[in-house]
Amino acid sequence: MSPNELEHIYNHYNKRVYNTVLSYVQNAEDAEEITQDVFLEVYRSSENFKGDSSLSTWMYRIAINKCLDFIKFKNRKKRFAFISQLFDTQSGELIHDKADFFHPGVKIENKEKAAILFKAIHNLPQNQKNAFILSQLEGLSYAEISEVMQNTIPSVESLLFRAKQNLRKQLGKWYKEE
Amino acid sequence: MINNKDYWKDEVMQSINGLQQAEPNVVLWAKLENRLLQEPIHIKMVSKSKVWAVAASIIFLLGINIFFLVQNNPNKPNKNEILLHAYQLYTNPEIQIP
Repeated sequence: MSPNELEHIYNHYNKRVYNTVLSYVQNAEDAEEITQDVFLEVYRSSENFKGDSSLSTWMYRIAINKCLDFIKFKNRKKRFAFISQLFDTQSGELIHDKADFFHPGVKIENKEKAAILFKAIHNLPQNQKNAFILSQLEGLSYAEISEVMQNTIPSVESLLFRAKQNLRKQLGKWYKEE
Repeated sequence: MINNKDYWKDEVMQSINGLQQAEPNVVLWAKLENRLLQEPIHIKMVSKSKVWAVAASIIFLLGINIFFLVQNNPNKPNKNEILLHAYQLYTNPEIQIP
């Protein structure tokens, strides 16, 4: 693949990739960095793309994998920070506590509530998170999600149902705190 | 009847309805292009076994061609002609065999 071809693909898919990544990592700077990584991966491994699935499906898979790797890496760092904080007598708070995420595409009147929802999405089990983000935030059909996740349509439906149940459960806990 | 808690949950769940796509930074492509320039150029090395296989095929094809060229050479006398010539040597009265 030539850089010109990559630019063409970038112009076509950059918003979709960026928004998917943003939903996972919930931070604009990290999302930009990972979006670059996704397109570099596409450039590097274009020879491996056999056309068994559509280009967008392949790119969604790359994007999700990159996000999961990033989240794993960040969680490891958090754990280390937490352990090192145990020895810190100066501060009594968690330094790396997750900040609220305000998605720039949410309506102003919904900002606060959407931030709560994104916090809950962050805590979902992996497969449920994939199904929820691809369906509710990316607007993919069940067939498209099943292709990206390499799952059957009924299992995608089931994951989405459980994701919504889990989110409501989490929200129930936070309602008490308000 | 929906209580306050369930109503609030519904509102939170619906807060992402009509979500607009976020715009990535306009300089993102420039950053990516910069990283592309730093990418090492990948030169595919052909394995030695492949080189030998190609060389052997060429030699084999050349061998076959040469073999058939020699076999079908129109200037080359065939076996019968050689025998006939030898026979004529003995039967020709002009030739004296000592």
